Amino acid sequence: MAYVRLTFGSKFLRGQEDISVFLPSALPVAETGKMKKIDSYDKREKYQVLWLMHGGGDDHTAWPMDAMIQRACNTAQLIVVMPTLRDFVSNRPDMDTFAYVAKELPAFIGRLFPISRRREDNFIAGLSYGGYFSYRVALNYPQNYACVGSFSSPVDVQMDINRMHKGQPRFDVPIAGTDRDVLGMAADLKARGADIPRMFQTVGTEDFTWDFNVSARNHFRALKLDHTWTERPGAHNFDYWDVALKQYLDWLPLKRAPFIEEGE
Amino acid sequence: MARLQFYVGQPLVSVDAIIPEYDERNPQGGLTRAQYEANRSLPVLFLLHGAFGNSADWLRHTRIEMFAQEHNMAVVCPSAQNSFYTDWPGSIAWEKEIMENLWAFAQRYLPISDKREDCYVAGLSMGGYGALKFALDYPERFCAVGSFSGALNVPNRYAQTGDDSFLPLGHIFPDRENLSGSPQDLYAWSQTLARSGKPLPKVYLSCGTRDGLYDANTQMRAVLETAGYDVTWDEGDFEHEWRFWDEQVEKFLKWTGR
Repeated sequence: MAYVRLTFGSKFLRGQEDISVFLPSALPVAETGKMKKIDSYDKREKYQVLWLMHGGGDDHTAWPMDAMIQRACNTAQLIVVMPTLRDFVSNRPDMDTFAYVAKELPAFIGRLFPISRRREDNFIAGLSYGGYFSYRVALNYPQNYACVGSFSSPVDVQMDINRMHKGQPRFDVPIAGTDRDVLGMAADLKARGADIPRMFQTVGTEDFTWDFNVSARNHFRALKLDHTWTERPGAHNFDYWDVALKQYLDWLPLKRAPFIEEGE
Repeated sequence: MARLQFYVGQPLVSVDAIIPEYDERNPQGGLTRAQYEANRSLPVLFLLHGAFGNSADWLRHTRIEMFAQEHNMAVVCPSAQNSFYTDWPGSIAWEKEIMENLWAFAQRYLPISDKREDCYVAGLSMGGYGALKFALDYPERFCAVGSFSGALNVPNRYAQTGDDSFLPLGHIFPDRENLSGSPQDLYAWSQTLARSGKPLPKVYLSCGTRDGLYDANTQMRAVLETAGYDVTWDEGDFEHEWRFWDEQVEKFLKWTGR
């Protein structure tokens, strides 16, 4: 495996930020399908990229430390970027996590690593509140992401706030009609005939976010979006998310090898 | 400015790296941000640690991050244990691991140049030996090499005396009889390269005057100059210590003209 811990100064977060990144540490051999150690390079080659979000109260180490994803990412030949999110609904006066993930991070990672900047090669997903955040980013910038995924997430964030976070200052923000309104934005994009990222949504049948998922699922289905739903017995933990990530990777349109973009 | 800590390879070679970013207050080469960011082919310095160290040493003990930003130089620091950066017979091939696999990995993933005129290697003590060895073994790859307080005479001294009291060396240089004159003997190896007609790296050599390795370094300076290398020499009132290497790595970067 190749794990990278990255530190850089973010303008939108007003501070030094750590980011975890997986880089494929081996190359697929076309003839045999096996993997070999990296012993060559082509400066023109690019990789597909997965922007992978953790949940509330965690940080960039959550996925690398808790999930069994390294080999899966290597097989997928994806660069996986895992930032730290300290705020999911943009209610902190001192930092703008939304602009950080949606704007600053893709530009910065694009300068550092050979990621494709094309929509068809960019995927975003996350667990719990990171899944809601992924939908929020993807639907505000539908031109930038081909696919979005949520694992056990409060996708219907208004219902989640009403039930779980009433009176908590850090969730005291308007939703409807704002850039936080995932369900409203999906309807708007549909009405405008825009290209909407393909959606993947999964939740365990014992998960406390079940209702917030079903509500969003019904909304997306009513809009007739390209939306995939999976459910399995399971709760709000990494036993579930290990499998969820693998399901999501299987579902993504992966190229499974570095590639040279046309015109390069 | 980005700092990266890599855990990569098999055997696992940890790597610390620094990638400069555009500096609005001090624009590199007078470029605009757009011009600077359009070209992600930075000059790169492979910077090697000494014995009893690891990839974090240069970042912990020196101001290398600031110097790297000022000189717009990417810096890649691999860990190599107490290997002397050489392939251990029948065991771990450290030089191959770093110069073949890590090289390809870094070139594949980092925004660095692979052109000879953009690639540098340097190190302190055991890393000075390693830097010179890499530069002599890969003369098409590096335009210049820096050795600060290089432990350049360790194989030669071991061949002559068998003294490995500071570090066991038998597993690194098992063929003690034939060590002198071999590619591990950099005094001899540098002369072999000079006769080969291959391009020679420019050499920056320095040592503290109170360092026990001082004579080994002045001797290397004489060998290299006689063989036709372009050698820059520096020394100062120092022992074998970080204050000297902090000063030297900045002087080296200035010397590159970057």
